[in-house]
Amino acid sequence: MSKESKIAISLCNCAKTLHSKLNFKQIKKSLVERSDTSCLVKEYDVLCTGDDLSFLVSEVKDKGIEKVIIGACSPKLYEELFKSKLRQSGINKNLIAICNIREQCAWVFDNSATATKRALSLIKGAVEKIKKSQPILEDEILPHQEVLIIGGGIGGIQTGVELKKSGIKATIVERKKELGGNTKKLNSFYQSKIPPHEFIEKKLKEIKGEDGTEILTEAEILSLKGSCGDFRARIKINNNITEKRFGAVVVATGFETHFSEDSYNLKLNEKVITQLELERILQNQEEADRIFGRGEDIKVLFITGMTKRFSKLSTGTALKNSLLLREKYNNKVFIACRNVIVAGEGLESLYGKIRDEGVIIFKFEDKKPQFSLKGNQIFTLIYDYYLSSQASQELLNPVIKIPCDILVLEEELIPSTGHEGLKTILGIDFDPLNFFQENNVHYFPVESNRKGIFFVGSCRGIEEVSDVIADAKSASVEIFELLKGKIKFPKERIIVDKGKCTLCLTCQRLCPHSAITYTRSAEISEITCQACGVCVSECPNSAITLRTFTDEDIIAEIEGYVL
Amino acid sequence: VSEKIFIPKIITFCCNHSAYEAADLAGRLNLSYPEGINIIRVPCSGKVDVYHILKAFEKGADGVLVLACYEDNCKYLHGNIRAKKRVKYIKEILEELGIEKERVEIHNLASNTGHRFVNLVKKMNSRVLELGPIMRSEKF
Repeated sequence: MSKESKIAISLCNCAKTLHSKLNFKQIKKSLVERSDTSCLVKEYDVLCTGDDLSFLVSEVKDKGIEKVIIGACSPKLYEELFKSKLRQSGINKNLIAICNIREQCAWVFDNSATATKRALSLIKGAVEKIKKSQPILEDEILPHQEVLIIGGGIGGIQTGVELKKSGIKATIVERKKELGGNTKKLNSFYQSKIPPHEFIEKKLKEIKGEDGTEILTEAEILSLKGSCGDFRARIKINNNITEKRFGAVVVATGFETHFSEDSYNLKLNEKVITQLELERILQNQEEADRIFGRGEDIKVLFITGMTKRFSKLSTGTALKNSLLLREKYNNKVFIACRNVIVAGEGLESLYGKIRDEGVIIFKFEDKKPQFSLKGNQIFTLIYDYYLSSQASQELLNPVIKIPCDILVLEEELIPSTGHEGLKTILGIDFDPLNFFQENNVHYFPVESNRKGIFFVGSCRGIEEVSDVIADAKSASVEIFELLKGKIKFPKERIIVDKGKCTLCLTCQRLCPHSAITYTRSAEISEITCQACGVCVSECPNSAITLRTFTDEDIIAEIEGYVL
Repeated sequence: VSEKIFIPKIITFCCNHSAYEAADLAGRLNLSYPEGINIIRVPCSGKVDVYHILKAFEKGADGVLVLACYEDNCKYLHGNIRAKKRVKYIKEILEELGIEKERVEIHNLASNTGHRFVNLVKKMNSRVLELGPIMRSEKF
């Protein structure tokens, strides 16, 4: 029999504030009385401060303690601090348990006796659990210092620029013949005065040159194997297939525009154009003069918000171009929209500016505009929302009829074609709108669910150019952090029993991080695994064990509570 | 024979990313909940196995509550949906065993809903209180 390991139970009274609710003397007494384990119980004032914590660390070292239980505030607050400090005295991460005796005990129960009883049962549960815990060691690998960027739009190019600044080599894989993506089709930005094509060329100049970014056009990703730090990608370039190794992958596939005639019941022609078509016309000076050159006689109507999803990008484009037409050609410009979305950078002031310039904006909310064709003229009937609320009192007609010479319609912005194939190849997930799903919308917006794969730009939801650049910057910072040293990961945290595994591949289908592959039995990549334990509980043969949360741990904890 | 007051022992499996934080928040708001609520922190509600829940009943818990994230909101994509299916399955097993299926329940909540956490555990507590202590084999 192995000898009982020494356990230190450190209780924190949170600067004596917990004394009113918890009877620390009683807790200590009943813990010491439990003779089956050699426990060292001690009370601290403020364990999260340097003094008390370093005292604990030195004491753990001196007395040869192997396992530590900390009864303090919620583990959500200081778990990492305690674990990193106690590591100095050689205590493994998995041999530390934290009992939440503040948030889920002292602060909940009004009665002191109940709270004390509850704290005791919490600590008892932790003792039962920690007795069976085994240390989990760490392993490390040296990542490949090269990054694969999928998509050569503004997101991909900017990521290349940022990575080059931090000294990491990148490879851009673009499906089309040249880089630039949707940005190259634009006539102007509203955020700055640089023409988009010049902007792209400037960026391209930055990434080219000596040991610059490798650019593969008309190329496609066929497969991606391996895990973070050591991805193996097969790339098809002009019917040649090459295999390369990368440390990280950036997905910057952007979006595509799609015009659906169903949502408008209109066919595109010279007078009915899409926003992208307008951008193309405005790029061509002669054509633009021919169409818009007749000043006040030309009435232009922009419509946004009639597609299934409409975004600030299309509102921004409509505002930008209406200002341009108003200033340059002095046309009469109207905008009909479901809602003016001005959440983007500089959009609010742009909105104010176009109102000053005399652009008229109608809001139609739920009732969509109707179109009628009389001779050569298109009439648009807009049911004005604000007018309708007053119409009954003042005998107004809430329907506004606008004869328009040019009708600019908003296209639907959809994920790029081939994104479904890419989803399977990369093992990442979709959000409800079929864009790629971020790891956490607020905390980790550029990370995917598979470690080492990052999102930049509109592939994770429609974004403005300024947001795309911000994305590229934060993604390259993340990549720099990831690739700068060795990647550490726990060793044998999750184990597959090869004898029990029957290759049913339930785990492989369910793993949210695409960490599971298989040869003779299921194999779990420990770098990618984030220890959620979904595969463990789904495995029909119980072949997988998660050593941070074993079945015995949970049963021991239940026993501690119930018995 | 003195009649002891029945305090239902309810094992509450809390997802680390939502319910556990909601329980912390309830503490910070000084909301009190019944003392029989025992919180077990799990990395994801999808980690809660049929085995754990049945074992909890065997060890003497009067009720089991699984608290998960809202659907489409799980950090591990579909963990909460797997947990929901599993709880449905356990209800069938419990009925076969002659245990009321109301003793096990799954609910969804977000990390910023301390009040919802307290409401859910209170509701579960009163339900188990109504059902009474679980029948255990040693009584027969």
